[in-house]
Amino acid sequence: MSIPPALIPYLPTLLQLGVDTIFRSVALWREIQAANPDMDWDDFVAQVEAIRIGDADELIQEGQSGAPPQP
Amino acid sequence: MRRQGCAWYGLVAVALAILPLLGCAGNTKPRTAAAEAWATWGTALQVSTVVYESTMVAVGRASAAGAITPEQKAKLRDAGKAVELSLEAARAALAAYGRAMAAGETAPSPSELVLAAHREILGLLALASKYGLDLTSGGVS
Repeated sequence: MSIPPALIPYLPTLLQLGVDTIFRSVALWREIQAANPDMDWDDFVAQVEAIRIGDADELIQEGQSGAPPQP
Repeated sequence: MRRQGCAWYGLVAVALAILPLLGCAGNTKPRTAAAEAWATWGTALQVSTVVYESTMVAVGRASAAGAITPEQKAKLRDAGKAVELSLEAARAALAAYGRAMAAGETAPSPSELVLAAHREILGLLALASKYGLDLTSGGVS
């Protein structure tokens, strides 16, 4: 097994690309794991109870106070 | 020297072969039922809540800009209140479902209540659309 002479100038770049790909794959895998956490039912209940549902009147008020001034 | 080169190629080849295997193993590992329920119903409830809240803020903006009449605002407010209550009911049902599952009991799926909240939201969006609310740019089309 020998390296074709024409490839030798590109070896550092190819090596760098390979290393980058491996590190990027690991980082992506960790991101996916973090975005899809495994959980038990107690975690599930805590997540559900953390959802805040705004009051309709307060939300309308918020929209009214944030509206641009009328011409 | 040549043998060392072969060893390196071999190591790299093995590392590259192992990576997809590790990735596949990580992705095919069965997730817990709680994680699946959260990904399905919990996330759906979160998305619905964001849609409802954005719509109600848009109603307020449109009202302040004079783009809807007080009667239209009142109808949208009532529709919004109905959505709020059904979202609250769906959240309570999901939490009760989680607590029952944590206790090892069998509980009926809360899917019906989550879907009912979705239907209420569709009603609210239909009304908002009828009155010309533009939900993409702050309330007034």
